[in-house]
Amino acid sequence: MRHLSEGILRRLYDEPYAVDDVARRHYRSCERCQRRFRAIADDARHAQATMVATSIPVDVHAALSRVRPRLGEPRPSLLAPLRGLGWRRPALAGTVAAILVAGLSVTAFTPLGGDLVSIFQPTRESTVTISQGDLTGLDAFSSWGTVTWAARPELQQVDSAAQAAQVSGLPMVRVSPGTLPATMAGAPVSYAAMRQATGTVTFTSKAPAQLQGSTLQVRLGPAETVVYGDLGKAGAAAHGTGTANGATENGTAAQGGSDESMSQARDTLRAAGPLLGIVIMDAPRASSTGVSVAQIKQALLAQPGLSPSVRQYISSLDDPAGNLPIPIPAGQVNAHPVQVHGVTGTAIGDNTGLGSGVVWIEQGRVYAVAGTLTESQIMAIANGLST
Amino acid sequence: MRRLGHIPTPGGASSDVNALPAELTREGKDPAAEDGEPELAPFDQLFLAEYGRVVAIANRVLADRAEAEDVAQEVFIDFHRRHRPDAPYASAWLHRAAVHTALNRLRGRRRRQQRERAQARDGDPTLLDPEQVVERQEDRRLLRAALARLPTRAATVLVLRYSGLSYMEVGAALGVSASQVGTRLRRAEQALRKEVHRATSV
Repeated sequence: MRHLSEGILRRLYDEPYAVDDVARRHYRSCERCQRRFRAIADDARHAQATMVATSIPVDVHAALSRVRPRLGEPRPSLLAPLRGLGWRRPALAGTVAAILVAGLSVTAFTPLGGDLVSIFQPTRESTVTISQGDLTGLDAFSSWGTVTWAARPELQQVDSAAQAAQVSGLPMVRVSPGTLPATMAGAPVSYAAMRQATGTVTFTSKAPAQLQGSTLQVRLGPAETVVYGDLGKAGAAAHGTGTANGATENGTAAQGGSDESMSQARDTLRAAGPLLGIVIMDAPRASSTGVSVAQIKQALLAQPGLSPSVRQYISSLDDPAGNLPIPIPAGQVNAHPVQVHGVTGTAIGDNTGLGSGVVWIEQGRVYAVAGTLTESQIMAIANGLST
Repeated sequence: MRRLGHIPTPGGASSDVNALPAELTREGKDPAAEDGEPELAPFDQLFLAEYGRVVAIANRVLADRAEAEDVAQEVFIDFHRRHRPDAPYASAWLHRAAVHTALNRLRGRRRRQQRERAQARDGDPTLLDPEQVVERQEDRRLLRAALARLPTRAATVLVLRYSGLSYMEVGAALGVSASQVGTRLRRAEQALRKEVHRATSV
């Protein structure tokens, strides 16, 4: 008979009668296995001594009383577990500002004279490299206006792709099962949907004089998402890496794109296990009253502290086709054009190889597929996607 | 009524599990129900049967009663949102979720530091000798640090086993056969010893 495996010897230490007679007989007659057993038992005793914990009494009835009222609480937003992955308030403000900047890549580039004119209706996506320094300049834009939502952007968790389609009014997302890698095969699937959100940005007295009193009407979504992977785990990992509450270890707000926040985000993703997200949404649109794109562009460029890359981007906003900007942290991720569903999209990859994604716009709709997978895996899923 | 499988107390492992509620025996019989009183709702049955053990698992990782109970309640609420309380995999799901949630909390650097500071302040009321108190705190610190550094798979099997789960239960929680548990446990114990040795020899 072959010598006993370490697993059997280890179980022999804990549960000797769970090991079959043949193995026990071999053990009794085999000095080598007995010697290995002694080493295994020694490690087991060490672990037992190390793992000792103080017994704690619990009042299970009191605990049940505390839990019962919380059972009816609504499910947390699908986005909640993903908070703390690196986008903090200043970074978010910068991102919103970047989108606003890109929103000026107009489809109608005329003085508006008080009429509502569509100024942003992207037909393709592009990347905007955001560094920590860039955010310092962009953050100032967030004080220029106040936002009033007629319908807030709220992602609602639902139970199926069909429900997501029903809530959003978009076609149902269908993922080709053959394109899912084995790591995703048994993963839990979460669905969410967002109805169209509409809001108004009113430029306040803090904005440059030529913008004050003007408004931008913004329309976001509808959208639907499918996430493969354990979001609860992702949320716990996000909180576990100390990134919750938007503060870092030393209490200072982290800037999106910084090495530290990216490193924390990567740690979180690694701890979260395999994740894959698919988002489909109508491209965001913006209209304006009382202000021309030229005026907004001029005001943006007059803002001090803008990095050369952001300044260059604003200056190039005369392309009437319109770009949807995708902010990417400088030096942390790479981006390059790819063909997906017959159109040119943008593939984005983490420089450490942790994950990748692809974004493309097709007939006024933005598609994004991203996860802790390789680019080829992501591209296969993206190309196999149907609606 | 939901019936629980027999859960033997394994030899060799610490037996400080508080999972045995007064209302339910290990065989899942509810004495109140036998007396003609109304049966508990399935979720309540599950909670009463498993809460103590889930707290014990989380406490094995966190060494903090309040935080362990917090983790346990979070895990039960999460389970309630996602699954039927009479699901056959309920116990295994709860055990695994407890250890993973607790490990994730442990790995939060800021919280861990706060916890260690609090433990250093509070001491251990069961020990009177200051030298013993210091030793115990140091042992706990080493264990927490080792668990935080070990791969999740290794830390999980150690916590589940030393929280008193049998090989069958650990296997159910990990989604592997009982025979594979011995192999994983052996490797995890070797890794734990190396981690502790590394920490104490620095």
